[in-house]
Amino acid sequence: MSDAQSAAKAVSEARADKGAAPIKDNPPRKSGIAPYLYLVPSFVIFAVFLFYPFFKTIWLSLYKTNKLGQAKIFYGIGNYVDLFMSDWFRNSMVVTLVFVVIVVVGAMALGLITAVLCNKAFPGLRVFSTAYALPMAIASSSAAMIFQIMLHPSVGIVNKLLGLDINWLNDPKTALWCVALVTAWLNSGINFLYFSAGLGNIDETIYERASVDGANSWQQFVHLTLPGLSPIMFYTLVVNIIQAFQSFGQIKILTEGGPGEATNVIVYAIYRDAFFNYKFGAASAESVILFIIVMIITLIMFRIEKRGVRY
Amino acid sequence: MSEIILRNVGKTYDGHTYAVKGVNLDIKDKEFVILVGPSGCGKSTTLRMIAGLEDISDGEMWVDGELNNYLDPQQRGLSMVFQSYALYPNMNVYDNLAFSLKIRGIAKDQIDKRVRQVAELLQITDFLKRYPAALSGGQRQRVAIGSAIMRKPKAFLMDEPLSNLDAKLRAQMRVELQKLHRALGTTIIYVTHDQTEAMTLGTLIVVMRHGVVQQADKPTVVYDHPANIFVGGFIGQYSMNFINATVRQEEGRTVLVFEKEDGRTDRGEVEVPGERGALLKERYNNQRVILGIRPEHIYDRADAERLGFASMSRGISETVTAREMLGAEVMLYFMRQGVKQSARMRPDNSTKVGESIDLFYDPSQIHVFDRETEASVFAELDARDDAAKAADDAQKEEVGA
Repeated sequence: MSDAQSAAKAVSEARADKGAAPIKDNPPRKSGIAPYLYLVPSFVIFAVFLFYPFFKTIWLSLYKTNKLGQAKIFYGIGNYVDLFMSDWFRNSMVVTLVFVVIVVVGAMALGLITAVLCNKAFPGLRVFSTAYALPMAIASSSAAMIFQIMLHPSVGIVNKLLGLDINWLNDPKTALWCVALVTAWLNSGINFLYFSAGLGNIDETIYERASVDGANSWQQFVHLTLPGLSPIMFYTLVVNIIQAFQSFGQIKILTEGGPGEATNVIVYAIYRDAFFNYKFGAASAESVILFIIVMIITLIMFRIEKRGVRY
Repeated sequence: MSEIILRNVGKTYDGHTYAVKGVNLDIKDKEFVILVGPSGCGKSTTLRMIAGLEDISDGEMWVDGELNNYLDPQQRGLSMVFQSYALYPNMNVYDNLAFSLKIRGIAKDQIDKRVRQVAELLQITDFLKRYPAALSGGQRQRVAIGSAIMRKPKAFLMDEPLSNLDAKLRAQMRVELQKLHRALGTTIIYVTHDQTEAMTLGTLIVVMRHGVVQQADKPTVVYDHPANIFVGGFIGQYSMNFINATVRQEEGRTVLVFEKEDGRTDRGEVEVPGERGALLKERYNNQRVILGIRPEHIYDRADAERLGFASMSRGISETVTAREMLGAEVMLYFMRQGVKQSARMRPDNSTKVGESIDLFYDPSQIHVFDRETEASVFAELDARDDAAKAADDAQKEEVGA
């Protein structure tokens, strides 16, 4: 008996002594190149469209570029320093934060309310469900065009119906709210779906028990529905935050970052710096900052989630 | 004090087919009522109508003199244990128990006191901090019952609460439930498809089939005097044996003669003595009826002679097709009129499979059912006897008190 064999035997005996199952002689696993070959197609796609642009952006953010976007002068963290020293970028960060808060709160609330409303069978349920899920299927730019007309100060239906005379998109006080609420509505469709699925997973009989126990609808919502949705609520929140940070089309069409800097969220600032001002280095630095912000928020949320969801 | 009355209660979902029809029940205070029947018989629907989880399509439901038809479940003051237990998954055991009091805005220290009390009673104190997902079936079931008894409801409704437990635990919980009923002194309405549960727990058994109440009475009455073939076959650990027979007069005696079978020469007959025989003679002479007899009322020759009816019931020879030794008794199975029949014998009976045995039917324990209506022919006589017995019992109780 070779050493290896006797060693294996000793181990298996030791395990048997402890009451554990003895090691079985598994047939040797065939490992070769095949598993990696299967990974190649997706890896190539990731490399071309994700990894390369990602690292290129980080690299570019350390340079000053020419108008073609070619790195010319190594600038170190200069781009970052410039950004943090500038009033407009700090304003842009604040605008982004306010925008994200409005969008996330609005989209989550809208999705939740519509999903709860559609959780009971009633005539016309399908019509309402479709209507509430529809924003998901609408392109942000086409929705923005429609809202542009609706919010028009003289011919827009919003002013006509409310009997007001507000230049919604050109007033710094209202412009951010308008684009944020349009975005919230656009994002609410997918939330409606998420929450509907979440509600479907809650056992119906706990509501029956609660009503026999004497809980009214509001108590049932607070004590059963919300906790029941908490697992899906978390993922919806993460997705919504990331989505809100990346909103672009509706801002481009509705306000173009204006009036003044009122709606100049970071994504729009990146676009403007890169494709109008040809400051690709600065734009890259902004991208990296946005990436870091989103990453930190996501990490924090996952950390919190581990403590928050209990079942 | 709570008295629940159902008057002609019915449930229909589409307006013409009825899941439950014409249910009349008078449930007195502190009664342990069992709604029993095969699945789909409408027992759960009836319970859910009482709870207010289903609308009552027809009829009226009164609780303590108040019409409850249009009250929400919240307003009825009942509590319920569900088959799936319906524990709140996001709350631990403590909060599950406390929920019904918490939403009523009862002071925390009072809730705490009650939770500990109930937990003590049901022996769940050790896992008050656990979540339902971490509990075993038996523990969940205790928590579900605990949540129901936190308040002092007008009645407890229980929808097959033991059906998810294994046999041993179920037997144990049956005893616990009986104790609980005595300790709480509250009306319990209990749904089950298990006739053993019905017999052991109930003070009033309501046998249902196809949405209609077949019989509602004390367990002993339902067992001894089934109102129809269905009740006879459904109640009892071993089903009642049913045999097609014809009422004949032989030398001044009324006898039930078994119907002819292909390949058998023996006929089999049982005498029906006394007023029952007279009743058969009067109403069913020379007509076909269905004879019913429970396995424990079939004896071998020695026992029949000892009990003194060997001469009344000619020995019927049967060939044993299967035999089950159960320790305290032995079950013999045989075929009669193409149907499997059974007889309970003493454990020392040594008849083997393939051997034949002469069986004697106890004439005093014979049930006769009408072929058309399937109803018991002796229902009136039985009702009279049961009433007399009940009066007798009541008198004894009074003397005892």
